[in-house]
Amino acid sequence: MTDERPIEFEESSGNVFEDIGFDKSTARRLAHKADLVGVLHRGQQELGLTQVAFARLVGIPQPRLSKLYQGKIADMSTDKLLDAIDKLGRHTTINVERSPISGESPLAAAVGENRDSYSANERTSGTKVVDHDAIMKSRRDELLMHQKTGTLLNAIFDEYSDRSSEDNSELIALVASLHNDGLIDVISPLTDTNLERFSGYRFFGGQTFYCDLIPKLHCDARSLMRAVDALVRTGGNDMASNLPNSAFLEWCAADQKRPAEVLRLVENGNSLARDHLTFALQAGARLAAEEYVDKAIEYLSSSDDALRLPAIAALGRMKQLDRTLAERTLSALEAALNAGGSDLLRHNILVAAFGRLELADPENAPDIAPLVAKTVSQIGPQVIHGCANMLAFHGKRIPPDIVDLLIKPLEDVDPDNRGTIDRLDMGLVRLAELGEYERARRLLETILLAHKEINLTSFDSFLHKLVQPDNSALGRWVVAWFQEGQFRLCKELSDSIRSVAHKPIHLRIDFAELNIPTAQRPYLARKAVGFFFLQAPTAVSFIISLLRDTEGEAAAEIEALLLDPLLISYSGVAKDYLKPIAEDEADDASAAAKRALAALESYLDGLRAVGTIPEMRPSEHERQLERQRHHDAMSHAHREAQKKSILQLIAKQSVLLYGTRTISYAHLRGDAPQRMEMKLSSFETTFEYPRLDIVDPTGLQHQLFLFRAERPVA
Amino acid sequence: MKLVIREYLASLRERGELDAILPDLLSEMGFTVYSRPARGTRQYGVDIAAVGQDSDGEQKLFLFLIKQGDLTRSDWDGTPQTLRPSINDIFDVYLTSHVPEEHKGLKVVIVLCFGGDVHESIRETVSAFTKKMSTPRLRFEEWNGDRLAGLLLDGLLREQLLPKELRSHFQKAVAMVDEPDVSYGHFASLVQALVEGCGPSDRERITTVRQIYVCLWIHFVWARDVGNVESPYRASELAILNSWHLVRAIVAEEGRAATVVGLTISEMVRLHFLVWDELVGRKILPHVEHRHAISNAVRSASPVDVNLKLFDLLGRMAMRGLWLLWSDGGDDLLPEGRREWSDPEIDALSLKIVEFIRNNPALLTPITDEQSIEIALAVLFLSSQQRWHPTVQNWLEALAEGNVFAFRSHGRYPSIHRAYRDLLYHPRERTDEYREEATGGSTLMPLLALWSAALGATEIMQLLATFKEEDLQHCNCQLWFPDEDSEEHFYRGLDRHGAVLSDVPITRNPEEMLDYVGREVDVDQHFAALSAIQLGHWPLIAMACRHYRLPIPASLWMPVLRGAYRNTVKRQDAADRAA
Repeated sequence: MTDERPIEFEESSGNVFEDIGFDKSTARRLAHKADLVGVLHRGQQELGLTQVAFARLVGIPQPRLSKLYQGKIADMSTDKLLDAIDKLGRHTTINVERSPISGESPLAAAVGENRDSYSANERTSGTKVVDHDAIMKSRRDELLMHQKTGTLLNAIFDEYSDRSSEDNSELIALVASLHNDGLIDVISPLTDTNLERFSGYRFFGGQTFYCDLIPKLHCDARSLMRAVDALVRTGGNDMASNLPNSAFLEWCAADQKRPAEVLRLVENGNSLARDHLTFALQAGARLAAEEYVDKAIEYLSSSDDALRLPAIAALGRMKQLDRTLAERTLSALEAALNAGGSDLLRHNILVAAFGRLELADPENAPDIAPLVAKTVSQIGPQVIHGCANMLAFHGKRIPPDIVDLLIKPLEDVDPDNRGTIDRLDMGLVRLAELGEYERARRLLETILLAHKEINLTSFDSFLHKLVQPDNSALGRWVVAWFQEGQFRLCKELSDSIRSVAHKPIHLRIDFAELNIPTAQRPYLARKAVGFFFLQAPTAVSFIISLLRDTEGEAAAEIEALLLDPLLISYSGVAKDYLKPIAEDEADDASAAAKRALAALESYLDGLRAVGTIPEMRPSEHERQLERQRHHDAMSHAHREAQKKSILQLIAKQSVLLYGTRTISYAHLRGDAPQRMEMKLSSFETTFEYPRLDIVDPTGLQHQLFLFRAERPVA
Repeated sequence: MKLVIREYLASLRERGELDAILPDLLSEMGFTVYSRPARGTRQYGVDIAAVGQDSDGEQKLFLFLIKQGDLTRSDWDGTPQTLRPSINDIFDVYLTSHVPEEHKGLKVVIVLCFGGDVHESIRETVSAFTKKMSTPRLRFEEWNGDRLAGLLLDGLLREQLLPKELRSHFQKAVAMVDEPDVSYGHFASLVQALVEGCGPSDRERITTVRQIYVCLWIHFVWARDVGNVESPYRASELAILNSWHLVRAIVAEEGRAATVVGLTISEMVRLHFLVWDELVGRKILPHVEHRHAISNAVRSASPVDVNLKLFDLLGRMAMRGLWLLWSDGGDDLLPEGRREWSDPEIDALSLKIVEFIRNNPALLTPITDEQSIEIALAVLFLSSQQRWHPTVQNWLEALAEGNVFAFRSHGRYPSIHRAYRDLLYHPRERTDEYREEATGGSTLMPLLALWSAALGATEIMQLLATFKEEDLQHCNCQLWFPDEDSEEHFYRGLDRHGAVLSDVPITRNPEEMLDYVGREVDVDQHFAALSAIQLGHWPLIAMACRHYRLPIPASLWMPVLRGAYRNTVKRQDAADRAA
């Protein structure tokens, strides 16, 4: 039996962009684009390329790429992004037609496709010019025939769903007019049983069709709500499952009788109507703002959550309220809070408050701080999730005092609520963007120390931000946690940096600025060795940073650590990094680096002097066994790394048994097959095995163990 | 086969190497060797003098002049070491005043003996000279590499003595020196077959020992040429131990046969040292003062390889040290501790061993319990010199701490397993069950505890006692002793033998531990009855233990340990009085 209790929120559309107020189709587009940018970013990190080199590889000018990474995705088309990803994945075929609402990641869907879909689409649009009226006529007959044979749903889900809204607009208009004329009925067939027959992207294609269709229909509210309900339920807990509700909202807003009808049903105790109350209120407010605000406030004072919760949601989302109405709304929310209520109710009030903030004119924004403070004064899983959500989506706009209000409850996040943790990750990214690393650090500190089950790697988006090459916050972060000396924090930090960073991280820390007492510095150096031993460049750069600003005995102590265990373990890595520093006379660590390199050289001379002693070599049999063990260990590690690779998702794998080039013929746009020749480019990473782990593994472990366990100097 | 032997003869490079086998060859051919080469010098021109039957059937006096490699113009004349002046010496001095009384009437054959051949450039000169110097009572003979190889093949290695399949083992041992395991395997089969096929008479036994000796020489010289003497190193230990097995009864009887056997055995030990010098002396010792240098020379990415090789090497070094102690110890039946031995060779080797341990930290963390053998050898060697006691104590401390840390962190703690594959994957699991199973018994723990006790290292004893109480309740701490079967099996290593003293207490009380083990040492009769002990060759026991992987019997190191403990008690008493 599992103990998972996923949190559900009735007001969430599942699409973060929609949650924060973009209309449906924009939200869908943006969500898709943001994912694509994410793919590019991870691709770059995995390839270990600079932004310039990567920009060249994917064919996007570097400044634009940089803007994309900063979240400015509006002026880059989805097609361009797919092009770039196509270049990245080389053999990847992206089906540009496939709507992202399939529920799978767009790329995962794309990988499964083949090139034929391009040509199929081209053929379809080619027929458009032939005879438009004839086509519409035949469509009409077709629909009437489907109505007769009871196969309307099949037509919609199997045949009409595979096109974009624009292509379908005429068809949708035709279906709507036939329905409104009573010639066909597209609403009644929408039952759970009927919908069960369609699954996967077929279902979502049909659902999209319906979402475009519903606002255009004339029908009674009750049967439409039943149909919408079935569509939502069949969609399940998915990114796009709430889209039919938005369609219902549009339907309501098309005629003022419709929201009134829904409210009447609600008052008659119709539970289906209650489920759709939020949308009816929202739609109503578009037509008669004050009337519906007051209606909602009335529901708010009810003791029935089935009325209160939708009312709160609606109050947070009603658009174009004037200042008076907006303030009335906030007071009503506060009054509702004062009356007490469940965790869910508090959560919804929190969301509504931020909704009002978001919808307000920036110059005229209401002060929601008191309301937020009151909401988070009592926390439960829903409120905590809400805080993460609000931080993630409103973080950039909200003032620091409210940020702090949101952060506090997050300290009590439940490790089992993965959804909340993910949202918190996004919230932390917002904090990072605001430069609020210290706030982020304190929060994570509390969370990690309170919950062994939560790892720092759970916040991977944030970590990616933290380990950016020029981010000085990382250095300060490392020093802060080393100073505290909490084993778990330090270990989490080193583990997660290792798993997130695709390239060695060189820290450059200004210790003079950090004002760290000399007596504490050798301790910090030992921590760096203890926790970053497997990331030699990070450890070495930390120590060099220390040496730039340390003198006397402490410096000698730190310098000794640089040689042993670091340099003698990693003569390659350490030398590459240290040599330029030694040669740069202006660098304060130059002298120390020179001494360390000289000491290393003399150590290596000792190793070289021995030459080859065949008698010392393990026997052939032993070498074979060792090779096998090594091979097994490596392929295991390789498989694990591959599982995590983004390239695995977007690039088609083809096995070349010979040679270094692949030649294939692609059928594009119906033309003659196009010859494609591709030279394989290889990406390799080298890894220097620490020498001490071979010649003195136990001694090394013991030393690192002591360094890690050492308590900070008082 | 002849080619192998010719190659071997031609490759002999040091002066004295050809001399080393010739006396045995001559003895085997029926000559009576009455003058053997003293190292490096000729006795008035003569390297070896022997009496034997000439091809005409007459008893003659054979005087051998030996020259390694080819005979060139520069070897012929010019310096006192060249042949012509040596021949003059024979005429001027040896023949007139150094021929033993009983051989004075015999005709003389002067044999010019080379590993290689006579160079064309000097051939005429040599022939003219020998012709001029010949008389009816004195003639010259040339034994070049070809002739010597023939003599070896017809003599010592003749088919009745070294049948075809044994020759094949021998040839493979020689051919495979690059793969020491395989090469050694063939050599071991050869030795085993020779020992098993040997008849009961003294004569047959001596012949077999000489065969083993000559084969070992050939094996070594080939391997040395290839640059890998690992196989002959192991083969030399095996040869010595098996030879001892064959001749121990003859040695016990004393008399002429005993002398002959003693000579051959000591020649074989000397050959073992030669191999040791070639490997350890020449390749290892010059680098022990460099940190990690020897560890790095294993050229493996596996710490297990490094660990195994280093401990093996440590054992070889310490073993050599024990031979030195033995040779300085005169008639001592057991090793003993001294304040100092006043032997620069012992001092130098001790220092090298200490540097070797200091600069190769894998030697602080054994991964298999059986490495207690090497630790015991090194501790015994170093502890028998009082000046190294503090060093040994430091080492014991590091060993104990490393052991405890590795165990508690599920690292590479000493396992009861010995097979390479097991060690490679050790620890296979990081579970308590696996760890308990892998540490079911220990010879290392009592060794560390007893020596710590003897040296007065209270803190180490404390650490080990706590470790035993808290983590090793399941572990049978044990020491190995020989039993009544041991004498028959010890030197050939074919069967299990001996007994372990179980449940050796690991406590904070030195007396308790020493009494427990000391009682058994005093009661045990089997150790003292071993021929190697009785006949004053105790290093053979240590060597057999190292070679066949048996713990060094406590009886062997107990005298040194007791001596160390007496010193500790004295020192503590003095400190108490001063306080």
